[in-house]
Amino acid sequence: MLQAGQSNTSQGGHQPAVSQLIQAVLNERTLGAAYGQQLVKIVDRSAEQDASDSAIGALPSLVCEVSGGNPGRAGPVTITWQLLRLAAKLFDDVEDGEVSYPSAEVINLATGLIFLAELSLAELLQHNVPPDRVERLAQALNRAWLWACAGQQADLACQAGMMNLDPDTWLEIALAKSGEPCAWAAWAGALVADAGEQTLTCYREYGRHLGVLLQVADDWNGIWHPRGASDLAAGRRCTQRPNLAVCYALSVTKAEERSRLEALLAQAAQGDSTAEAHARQLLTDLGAQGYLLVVAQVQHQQAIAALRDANCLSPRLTAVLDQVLPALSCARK
Amino acid sequence: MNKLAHVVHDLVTGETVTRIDALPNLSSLEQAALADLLFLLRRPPRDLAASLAQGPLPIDWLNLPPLVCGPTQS
Repeated sequence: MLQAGQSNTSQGGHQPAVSQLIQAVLNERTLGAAYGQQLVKIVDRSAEQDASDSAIGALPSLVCEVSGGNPGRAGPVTITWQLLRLAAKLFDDVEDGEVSYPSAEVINLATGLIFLAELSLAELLQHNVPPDRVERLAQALNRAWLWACAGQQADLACQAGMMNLDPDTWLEIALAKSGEPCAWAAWAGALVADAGEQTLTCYREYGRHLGVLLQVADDWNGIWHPRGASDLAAGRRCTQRPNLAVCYALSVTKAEERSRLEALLAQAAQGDSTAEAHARQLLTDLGAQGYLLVVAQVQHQQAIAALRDANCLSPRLTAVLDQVLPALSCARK
Repeated sequence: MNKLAHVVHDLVTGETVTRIDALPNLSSLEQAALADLLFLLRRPPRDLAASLAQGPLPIDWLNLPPLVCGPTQS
């Protein structure tokens, strides 16, 4: 089992526990040990690189602690959350063609992380969490990630030009892909802390809006962050990818301007840096920045309202929201 | 979200808000968010990203480490 001392809210603190889980199963035979070693390496690497994201990664433990529970008790839930996020990112990278290793190997490792996450959740039984509650966590987890898969499928359909993407559809996809998993993470942390049903519902809402806010921030950074990898550049998939700024612009412009924007996006995707700069400027001129900030503000306020309803307006949880899109915090001042 | 997009566009581009009839159809949260940020939407320059703090860029935290049985070793 995971040792109590290994369960804490810090991102890197869970690595030994994950290694234990892997070794307990895979070290029985040489063949398993090699695969286990690869899993450990990926988990270690993600912990090294995840420092900027530690609050999101530790969400179940954080909510558990804020709800008055012992964050150590939420350790297996947090590990499950981190492993599934890691698996989802690997699958996403394969789908985007952004991995430098054979896709089959990466898919197999990501699949292993899913089963590892399930094993971690079962560790709750060793932390005196009642079996029916562990079962409830597992069922909700499966539902949340099924929604994430449905969202990803819609995302892929949009990329293939099989679905029109307006802002309403973008929101549906963001809710499914990111809102539902984050809703589970926050809800699960509160459940382990023995929160009541009304409080659980509020935390689920908090997580859901946090998840959408993360997607808005991702799209903002993909267009306007000075150090970001531009979503508009060659090799990126943004001309088809459902970036909210592009969805917005295409939905509000008149035919002539829309044609110009589409032409610029197509040229940018072919490596034309001048067209990329013009496309970015056109998005700015059309008010896409303001739109993303207003959408982010709506999500932020809904998350705050959920915390207030739970009587849990914790500075630590509001800080998580504020860190997602610093431009929004700056705009509100 | 779709109606909000048109309202923001009209506000930012300085066009008459021709879809004023859409405003009552915005949710109260959307209206409140618009009110919170209205001063930014209506004033130049439009490049808000240039004047707002961006913060650190989230790291691409899942760069894969070398795989033990990767293609170079198989």
